[in-house]
Amino acid sequence: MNSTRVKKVLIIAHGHPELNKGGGEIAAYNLFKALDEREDYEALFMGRQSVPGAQHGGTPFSTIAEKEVLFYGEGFDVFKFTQPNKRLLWHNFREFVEQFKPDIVHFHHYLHIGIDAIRVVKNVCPDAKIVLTLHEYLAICHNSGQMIKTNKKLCYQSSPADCHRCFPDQSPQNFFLRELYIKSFFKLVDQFIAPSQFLKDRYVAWGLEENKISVLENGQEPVILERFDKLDNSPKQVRLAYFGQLTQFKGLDVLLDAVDLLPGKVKKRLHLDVHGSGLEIQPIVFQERVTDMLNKLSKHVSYHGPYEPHEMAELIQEVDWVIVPSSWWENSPLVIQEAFKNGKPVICSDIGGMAEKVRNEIDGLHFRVGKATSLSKVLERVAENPVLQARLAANIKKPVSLIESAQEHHLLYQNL
Amino acid sequence: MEVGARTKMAHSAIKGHLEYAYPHGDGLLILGWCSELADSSQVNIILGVAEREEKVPLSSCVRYWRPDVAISLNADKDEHKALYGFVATFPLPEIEDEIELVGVSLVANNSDEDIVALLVPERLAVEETMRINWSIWYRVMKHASQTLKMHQAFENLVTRFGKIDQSETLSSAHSSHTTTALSNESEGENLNPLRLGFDLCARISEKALLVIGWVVSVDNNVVVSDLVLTNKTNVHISEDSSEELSFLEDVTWIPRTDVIQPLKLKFLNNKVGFVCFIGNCSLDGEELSLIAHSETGDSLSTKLPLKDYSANPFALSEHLFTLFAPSSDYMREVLTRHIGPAMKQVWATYRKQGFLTTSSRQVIQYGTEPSNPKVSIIVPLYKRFDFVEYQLSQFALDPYMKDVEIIYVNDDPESQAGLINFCHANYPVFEIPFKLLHGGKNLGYAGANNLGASIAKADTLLLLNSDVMPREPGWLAKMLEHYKTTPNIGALGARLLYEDGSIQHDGMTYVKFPFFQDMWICEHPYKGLSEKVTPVKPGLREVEAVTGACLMIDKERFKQVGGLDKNYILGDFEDSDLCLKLRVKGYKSYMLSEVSLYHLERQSQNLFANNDWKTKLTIYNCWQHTERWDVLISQLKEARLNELN
Repeated sequence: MNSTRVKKVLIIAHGHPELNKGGGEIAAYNLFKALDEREDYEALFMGRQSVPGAQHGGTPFSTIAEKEVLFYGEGFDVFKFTQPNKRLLWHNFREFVEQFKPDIVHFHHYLHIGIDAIRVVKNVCPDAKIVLTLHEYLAICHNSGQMIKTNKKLCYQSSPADCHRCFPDQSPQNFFLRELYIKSFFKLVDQFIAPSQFLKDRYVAWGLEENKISVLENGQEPVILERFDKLDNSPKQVRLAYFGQLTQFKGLDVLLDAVDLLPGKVKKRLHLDVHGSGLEIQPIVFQERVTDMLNKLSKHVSYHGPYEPHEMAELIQEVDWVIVPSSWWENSPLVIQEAFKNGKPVICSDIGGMAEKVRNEIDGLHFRVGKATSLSKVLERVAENPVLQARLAANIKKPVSLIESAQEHHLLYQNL
Repeated sequence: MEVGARTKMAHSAIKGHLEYAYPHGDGLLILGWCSELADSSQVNIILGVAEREEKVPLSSCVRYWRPDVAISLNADKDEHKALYGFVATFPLPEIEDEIELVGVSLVANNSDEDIVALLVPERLAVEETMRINWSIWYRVMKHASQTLKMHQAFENLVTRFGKIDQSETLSSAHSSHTTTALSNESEGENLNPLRLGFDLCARISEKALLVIGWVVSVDNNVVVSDLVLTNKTNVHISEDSSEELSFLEDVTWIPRTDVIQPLKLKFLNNKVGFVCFIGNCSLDGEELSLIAHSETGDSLSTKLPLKDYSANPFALSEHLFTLFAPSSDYMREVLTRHIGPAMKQVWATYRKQGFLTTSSRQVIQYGTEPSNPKVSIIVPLYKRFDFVEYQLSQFALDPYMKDVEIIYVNDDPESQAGLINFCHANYPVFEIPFKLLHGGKNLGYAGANNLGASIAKADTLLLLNSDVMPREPGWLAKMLEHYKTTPNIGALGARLLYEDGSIQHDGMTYVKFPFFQDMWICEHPYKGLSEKVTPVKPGLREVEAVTGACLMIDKERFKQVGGLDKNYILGDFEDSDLCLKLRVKGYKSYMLSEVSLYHLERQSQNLFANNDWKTKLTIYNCWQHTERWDVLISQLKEARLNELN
């Protein structure tokens, strides 16, 4: 690639962080900002907005900032990830790409824009390089991309017959077609990015070429050091925190059960802060369980409700440990990155991306996934040994900064 | 449902119908149905006999399950709710030879006006005219609730008329007009030993009929000597014999356990049911009678209503194929002598009406067609067309496709509008040019392919099913290269795989299928085996036939043999038929196993236990195919055997 002239990069995400505060949107946006700040790059950001009243008539596009474009999308096909409004792709999106003439189109996600957008980019700008960051296991798994079977068991490999068993109203042939279809677009991608080795391994097993996937961690905003207060070395209570959506697969119920299992005097030495929201859209059974447990453990567990991403640093600094008890594989949870960024060790399940990012007994502790008894033992250990925290915290590696991440991306783009 | 009763529906809240009146030794049995009022105790059945009037409340009658009534009333079909049928008994002491019936009606208590149904006056002779309608009886027996079964009247019925075996019947439930006469055997008088019934009398054409029925003699010493069709209005008056057509000699006899069982007798032979195709029947009129004669001079007749199937092959086949079990050993003869010729005529009439031809060719071109296409791919579409999007996504990865003409043939007029929108939306995503062709009607698999071939520009065709997906780019180029460099090649096929990677097709061979009485079927060797177990043999190899799901053929040769044959009803065997037609002209069939595509075949036909109508249609097609090709296939098999030795 010509390295003297300014490269134009289009970053496509499935939302804009001002409108949706998900980890994926934030990561995409951070990359966009960091690249655009460099002299050798000019970047544009495109994300979805979902409010029909907020769009203009006759075009799906609107602008939120000079270099940040929104597109309105609805009715997305979540089975095979295609854009239902094809004209949006081959007319509006095409026009946009033709105008901007990007050298690189980086799909941070294909949700809402459509996986067929990749084909349109290839048609319009055949010389542009296409990069795709993989999030979750969407292409592999129809169960929200989590690789958990519909009977709650972990899934290790997909197949048309197995996927049909999870979703009986879709035939094995349909699952086969889905895979064939998605792969037909993936063949047009020049390079994939996976935020964890675990995720990369899953996609390689699914059929992507090994050398086509690079493992790059998401960059993190630097922590403002002045706020890094030294905590009292011998706190009366060990403080724990859970951050994230209160969904079934994030494991809050396992965590609450684990706290409940602790003997009374151990309980007194701990306190758990729960930050997050979204309980009301979960299955009723789960909602009821969590609510009951929160009520029962109200002396030891505080539920604080939702939080803004920028508040996370402050909230984490008040605690000793961050707990990520997810019962699915996870990829590279933002929570773990935030915890490490703020110097806090992590307690997490022993599978997937969590087990990769948190090294057991080095910068955190593992417990057996889904087992409250196992987590309970870890919590007890943590409660009885307050010095454990400082010892593990000292081993935490500095996270990749946004600038470093942008540089890594730059090197990747160069090698295409 | 008449047997001598006419009914009138009054404008009232009760809905009902009286169906049968059976005089028996102890009185009168009435069968009918009645929909419930809120209070069924309000409904009475009033019987007018001679000078008397008897009244019986409906609630005291035995009720039984009538799902057919429930359906027509749009009501709950549940066995415990749809108890619309009723059996009413009227004991009539001192019953004589005849019952003079004034009328039977259903009346609601609260109003004299509320007469629901009326049986017209009729003389019912006790001895002779006791009729059993097998279908209604069968239904009553089969679905009778426990309550019904315990009712005394019911027990009497059973004693008199016998049980019907519920476990097996070919056609009792469907034979709605079987009639016979039963007499009071215990009286020991001079009785007619013959029993006669019919299942179907179909008009096949102006001159041809197909008759299916049964005849037995309950006395083993008395033999059936003739079966006769006549259009005489009164069968007992002998008239000119040219009004009669005798056909006993031409029938094929088949066993009928559903008939034999209730009669509780042993027979000397299995000549019970008969099937007969009467190709030249000069009897006029819509009302025929069927007469059976015995050697000893007895005769028995039944009216034979004609059902006109002369232009409706689908209805005829549906009716026919519910009457027979495909694996019976008589099937082949029945097909060859009777059903085959009948279906052939009806199908020919249907075709003559123009259902399978069209002069309309609506073509919509998406994108710019290649100027000199190397191959024309023809893909018939029927109802499900999302396959187009998947195929295009695969074609888009193959640079060879820019020299290929792609023709999608829509064979379903109802989906044309939706399909046009779909193509319009999807073409610009993939930018693979293709044509959408529509003939304005549903032509069937053969018709749709032939239509596509008629506008194809390249000199080589590839017939492709919509559910076949290419696996690797370059597959078509490879096939064409081999095709063009092989002399006397007719059809060229590729390996087809299921979605799990196991083999769906790797060439076809002919096999005599014992469950179809040794008629030829096309087998797919290695079906279901993995590629590991059946490695690819590189290069071309000659095979007996190739599947139409992915078939390459020279356009001229295709036209030379008349394209695909339209006489296979609803599709099947056309591809084998094509390969054999080519073979006759000296062109052989080949496989190129190193080229493989996915074939998402939905489900294979269960050839063994399925009595489904469509399976039986396949048997008809199988029979046609064997009739036409038995000799050639046998020769071909022998030649290959000799080659191996």
